Parts: sequence; structure tokens; C-alpha cells
Amino acid sequence: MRNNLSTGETSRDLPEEVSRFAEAWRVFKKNTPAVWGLVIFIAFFIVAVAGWFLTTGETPVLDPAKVRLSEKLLRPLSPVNTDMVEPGDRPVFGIYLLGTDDLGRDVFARMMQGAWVSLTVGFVAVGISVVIGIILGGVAGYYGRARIKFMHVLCFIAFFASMILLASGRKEPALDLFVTSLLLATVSAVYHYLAARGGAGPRPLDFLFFDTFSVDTLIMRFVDIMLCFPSFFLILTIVALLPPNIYNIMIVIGLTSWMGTTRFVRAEFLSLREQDFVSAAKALGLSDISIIFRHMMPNAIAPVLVSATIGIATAILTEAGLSFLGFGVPPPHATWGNILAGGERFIFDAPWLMYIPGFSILTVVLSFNLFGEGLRDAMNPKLRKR
Amino acid sequence: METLLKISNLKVCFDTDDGPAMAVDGVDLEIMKGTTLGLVGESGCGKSVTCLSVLRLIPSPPGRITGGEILYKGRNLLALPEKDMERIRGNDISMIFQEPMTSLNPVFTIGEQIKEVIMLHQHKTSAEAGELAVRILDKVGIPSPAIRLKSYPHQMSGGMKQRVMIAMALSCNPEILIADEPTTALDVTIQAQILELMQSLQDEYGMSILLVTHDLGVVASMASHVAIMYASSIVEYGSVEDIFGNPRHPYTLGLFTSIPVIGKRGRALYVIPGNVPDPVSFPRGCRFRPRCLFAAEQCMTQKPPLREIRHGHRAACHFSQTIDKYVWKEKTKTASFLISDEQHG
Repeated sequence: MRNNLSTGETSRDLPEEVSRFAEAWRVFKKNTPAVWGLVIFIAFFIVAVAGWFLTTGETPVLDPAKVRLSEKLLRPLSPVNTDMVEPGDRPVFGIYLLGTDDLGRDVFARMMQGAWVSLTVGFVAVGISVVIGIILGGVAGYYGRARIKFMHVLCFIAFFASMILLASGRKEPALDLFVTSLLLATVSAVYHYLAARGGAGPRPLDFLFFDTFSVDTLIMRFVDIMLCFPSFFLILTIVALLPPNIYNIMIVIGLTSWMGTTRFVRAEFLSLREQDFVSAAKALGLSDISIIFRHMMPNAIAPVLVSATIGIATAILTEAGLSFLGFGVPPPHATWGNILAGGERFIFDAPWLMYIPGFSILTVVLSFNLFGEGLRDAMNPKLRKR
Repeated sequence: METLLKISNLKVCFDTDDGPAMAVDGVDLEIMKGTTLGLVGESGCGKSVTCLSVLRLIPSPPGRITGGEILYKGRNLLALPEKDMERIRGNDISMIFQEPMTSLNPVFTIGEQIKEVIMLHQHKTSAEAGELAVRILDKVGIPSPAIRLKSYPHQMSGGMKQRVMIAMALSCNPEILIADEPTTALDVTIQAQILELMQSLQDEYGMSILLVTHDLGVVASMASHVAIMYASSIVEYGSVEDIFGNPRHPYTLGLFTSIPVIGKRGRALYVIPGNVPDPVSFPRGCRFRPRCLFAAEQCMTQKPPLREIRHGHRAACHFSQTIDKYVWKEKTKTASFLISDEQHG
């Protein structure tokens, strides 16, 4: 019986085991610019991590903040004037690899410190935006058709209004509204509990629970609103209000750049939701959470990864722009943006002060974009069989 | 014989732009332990929706179950909390789908997918689940199952994938297997293999099967009972012998007459005139009336209930006591001329 049923295939006929990663790599390595992008990406990563180790601590190997007024505006590769500089203040190799700036600070050390800033800003900001994007996009895509009940809208409005009142310093009405929202939340919790227990049929308070707009409408219109703001100026405004430090910059960039990811994830989820394997997973008794995160997310992650790679480049560029305008990381700390800003005044006397950070930003951003595009081609199964 | 699943007066409605569409309207079904019930009907008559509502998998919105009950071992599935329902899905009642090509998640190996189900419902460790997965894959006739566990779905053929789907569905020894057109996407030889496999597994495990199909031949060879569905309702229900030997509903009779018979030549094949009615606006009275050769005054006003003709054989027609295959034969002799005349005119 069993033999009749088998399809006559033996283990020798099995296709060679090729993992998805190996398959993607095979396509990726044919794309020369993308491979160069990856090489520069890795080099930048190593430089940034090295920069962090070498420029921090009590006596850093490379001191980006050491001022040597006698050595200002030296060309790249100039030797140290040993008469004027004390032995402890000399750069590591005895020469200024990338010259010095108007205060005689070692540009090489400052670039190393700035690389770490760019790297962390890029990764943390994109990390924040990807997490927000995946959660909102996933909810909009998977639960999008569900409608929000009127009661929940009321509850949310009360809560939101109380927060605004609290922020504007009017504590008493804020407290009243907050209690109201809690009360409304309790009522709807009881209502849903009873609804889940009992069968069909009318219940008291049904008139407060009519459907309003859908979850999808709520999230995607919010995305549209966020996209309406010119994001750089939005960031400028927020940064001007907040104390300037590197963490605020990361968070603000992250909070203003999640919309693209949300749209990607939602679009992927809309098509995945209709796939049979999702129904099959449900029919086999899996919960919504495990369907969303274990079964649908890995299928949707490829375009997110690609947009994240390009997002890192954008975040680095945004941070450099902010620092150039003086809104970024505050001055004693070096970033590529503020090295560039500082060099602007000496563009004719010391052009390397602009060329070095400028070309670094260009190279890194370009390499991230090339790598991202290569990744997209490699991940896209439609482009694979060529 | 023990009744395992009893669907009574199930109503499912889909909200469309044109108004509510009654996809399932008052369906009654019974599945006995260890038997196969064939659910037959043309596309869009509500077969799949009936199956999906047993597991409460109707996409909502736009769909909603507006009435009836589904009793499984005395518990009404429609009133269970979602958490309890998740325990029943895959464990007590399993389902296999029409499209084996897309029913497996492309990013995981089939081993991971089978093991996940076993670990979820039977609380086994990964290693134990792996052993079980190998055994069940062997059962469904997959060669070298231990190696196959590491394969991705795209490395397998359609028939193999359907075997894997069956393996997943059976991995927790369900009481009921719902098979929603399990062989439609497969070619004929693979079809026969899969059906044979399902039958042998049924003999071994004693599960019940709800087999949805529009292939009457498949039903005749697999099922012990048959339900014929038309326009969201059951029009005839009975044992295979009753339905195939002594059909009593004009729709069932029409279906059998429109099957081509090998060796019979010379006459145009019978066609049931007209089209399937739109579920948003069913005709008043009997829904088959506009296409029925026996339509009378009574059929305009009254929807015929599903009435017992003989023990266990039910039909939803006002005249099911008088209509049988002999009456039908007489009628179609003249009626087929009528139809062709209309076409010429």
C-alpha cells in the first residue's frame, strides 16, 4: 500500500540544499557596486567601533578635544612641531594624518569620533523607526478591516485631552478628564467581557458601541499627516525645543522617519493576509500573535531590511545636516557635520577641513545606498532567476 | 452510530457593497464518527464558507455568522471563547486547503512547520516533535522523511506539498478532517493517490472526513453520506446509495444528467438551463425555481423545507415524493427540445 502511494522519489533525487542566504549571496556578489558598498559598509563599521574605543576614556589614544593653538590649520600628513607640543599631547604617529583645524585639534581623531556618532545615530534612529513601522504596519495590515467602536474613540479623546491639559499646566481639569477616560475604559472592558461570554442579541449600552472608522484608516491617515510635514524642518523645530544631545537627535530622527516602513509592512501584510498559508496556520490553531510575528513577519522583512539600509544613510545625512546648521550634537563632541561646519570658514585656507568630512559622508551614504539596492535585488525572488 | 459534529440552521452573511449576501442560509449537516460526508455543489454555493465557519475562520468583516449552532461533542463551537477555539483548531478539527502550493509558509522548512503544530497542541519537546514529524511524513508516503524535514516548500512538488499538508493536519490525531477540495489543484493521477491516502489514513485512525468537492466521482468513491448544496442551502441529503441510486431533487437529477458518459454518443449533453442566482438577491420561494423543469405555482411563494423522504434521505423540493429518475427521464425528453427551441429562437 505504502509503496503504491509514494511518488517514487528517492533521497538521491533531492535538490541540493541551498539556504535562502546562500541563494541571495549568489545574486548579490554579481552586483559589483553593491559589493563595494558592502566592503565600505564593513570598513566604516570597523572604523566607527575603533573610533569609539580610541577616543574615549581618561587618556584616549586619539584625543579629539586636545587644543594646540600653535599647530592650527596644518595640512594633512604634516609632522608635529616637537618644540611647541608637549610629548603627551602629540598625535599617535607623530604626524597629523588628516591635518588640524583652526584650534589645532587633530582632524583624524575628530573624524574617528564622528564616525561612531554617525554609526550610532544611523542604527539607533533606524532601529526606532523600523520597530514603530513594523508594529503600526503590522496592525494596519492584519487587523486593518476591524472597526473602532465609538466608545473607544471617546475614551481616547478624553485621555488625549487630559494629557494636553496636563502638559499646559492645568492640573485639575486634566485629572477630571483622566478619571473620565479610565471610567470609559472600564465600562468598555466590562461590555466586551460580557459580549465574549454571552451569545448574540442586544445588550445595554449597545448604542455607545457602534462602528466608526477602521483601524487601517486611523493608522494610514496618521502616516499621511506625518508625511505632510517637511521632515527636516520638523526635526529642526523639535531639536530647537529639546536640550541638544546625541540621544535626542537619534530619537527625533527615528520618530520622524517610520512612515515609509509602515507603508511597506502594511502593503506586505495586506497581500500575505490573503495567502493560504495564513489561513492554514489559523486552521491549525495558531494564535494571532504567533501568526503575525512568526509566520508573516519573516515573509515581509526583506523590503523592510532594504529600506532600513537606505534609511541609515538618510539618518546619517540628516544628522550631518543638523550638526552643520548647529542644531546637532553640541560642539566639544565631534561629528562629521560639525567638522564640516567648522571648516566652512577656512574653505580657501584649509580646504581639507571641508573635503575630508564631506567626502566621508558622501562615501558612506553612497555605499549604504548601493548596498541597499543590491540587497533589494538579491532578496527579490522575481529578479533572481537571471 | 455516534454523531460527532452537528451543524444546525447555520447562517453566514457577507456584507457587500450591493447589500448583505447570504453565503450560507440555514444549513443542517451531521457528521458521524469514522465516516466521510461529501459536500457537493457548484462554485459559490457556500461549501467553503460552511467549512470555514466550523473552525470559525470566516474573515470578519465582511463576513459574520448570523445564526445557528455547530455542536461538536455537545459543545457549541460558535459560542466558545477564541482561546478555546484555538485549542480545537488543528487538535480536534483540522483542515486541508485547496491550494497546496500556497498553503505552506515559504520561509520555513516543512519540518519546522509540522513540529510547530505538534509542540503547540501536544506540549512535546522539539526532539520528540521531530520524531513524530518523521513518522507522520512516512505515513503520508513521503520518501526519506528525515531528510525531507529540512526541505523548503519550494523544493517539493504539488502532490508532495498536499501530502505534507495532510501530515500537518493529521499530526495531532484530529477527530474531524475538513478537506476543502483537496485535489482540485492536482493532476488526475496525484488526485487518485491523495484520495487513496486519505481513505487509508481514515481506516487507520478512525477519523471523520468532511470532503468538499464538485467532483461527483470522487464523492461516490469516498463518501458514505452526501449533501448536495445549491444557492447557500442543502437541497438533498442522504447516503451515497440514496443520492446516486434514487435522487429526488431536480437539481441533483440535473447534475447527474449533465455528467458525460463514456461510450454514449449522438446527443448533446444535458445542461441545467440558466445561471446560479446572486446571493445578494435570491429569487423568492424555491431558489432553484427559475431553472427547474418542474416549477409550479407553489414554488413561487414557498421555500421548500428539507423534508425526509425515507429514513435518512431528505430533499428540499415540494414534489420530491413524486419526482424520481423515471419521471425525470420522461420530462427531459421533451424539455431538451424545449431548450434547444428556445436557443434557436
